[in-house]
Amino acid sequence: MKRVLIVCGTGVATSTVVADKVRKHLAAVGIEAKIEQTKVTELHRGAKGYDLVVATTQVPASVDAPVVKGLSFLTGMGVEETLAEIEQKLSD
Amino acid sequence: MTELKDLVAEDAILLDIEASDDRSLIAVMADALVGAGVVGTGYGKRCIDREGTDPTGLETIGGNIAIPHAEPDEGDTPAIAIARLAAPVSFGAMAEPGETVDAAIVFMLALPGGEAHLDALGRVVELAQDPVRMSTIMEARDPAGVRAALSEEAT
Repeated sequence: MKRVLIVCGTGVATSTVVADKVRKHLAAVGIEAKIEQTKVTELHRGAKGYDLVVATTQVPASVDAPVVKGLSFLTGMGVEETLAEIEQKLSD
Repeated sequence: MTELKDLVAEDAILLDIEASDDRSLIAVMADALVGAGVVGTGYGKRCIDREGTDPTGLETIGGNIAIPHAEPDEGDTPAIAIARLAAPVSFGAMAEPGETVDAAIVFMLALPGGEAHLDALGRVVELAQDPVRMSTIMEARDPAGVRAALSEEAT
């Protein structure tokens, strides 16, 4: 079981929009994953224990998990590439 | 499920407005929401502050947009204001420090937490990724025309 953390800025929870898309895609390709969400302000402790971080905001350099930009889920541009990157990073 | 069009009052749909920058546009849009009686007077200031630290410009399939927002006060009514600009206004790009997006349509989101709010955000994102409905907004002659584009059935 992989652990994925979806991170957004403060305010409107863009992470929920992203989490929804990531969850559906991983289920479709048969990758078992637990998906959690947080705000970037909660990330000061790093992302210990997570296999991947997907973010719609800048994440601090202290985050010690692979990070994928999730902005494409909001813009609609480059979604396939982002999903491929997520799959690839989760199978490393 | 709350429909997007039910969150957008017609007097919070601003067509072909002119603004010199993102801050003045946000102030004008917040005033429209204050005028509609859905948020308190501090809302615009909070949106401007937040835009400064965490900008919201997005280059989407349907066009360049921005989604300025802040946490509403308790007692505020969930609402969305829409501005179509006479000339694009430059916003900082979300998650891309130093980059900007020249936004043509701006959605100001005054949405408290909870399911309805997340649902509405998802719907704004879907709308922005729909070139057909976005062009309906660009070409609408009046606020009612914009509201028509907000219903999913419009496509």
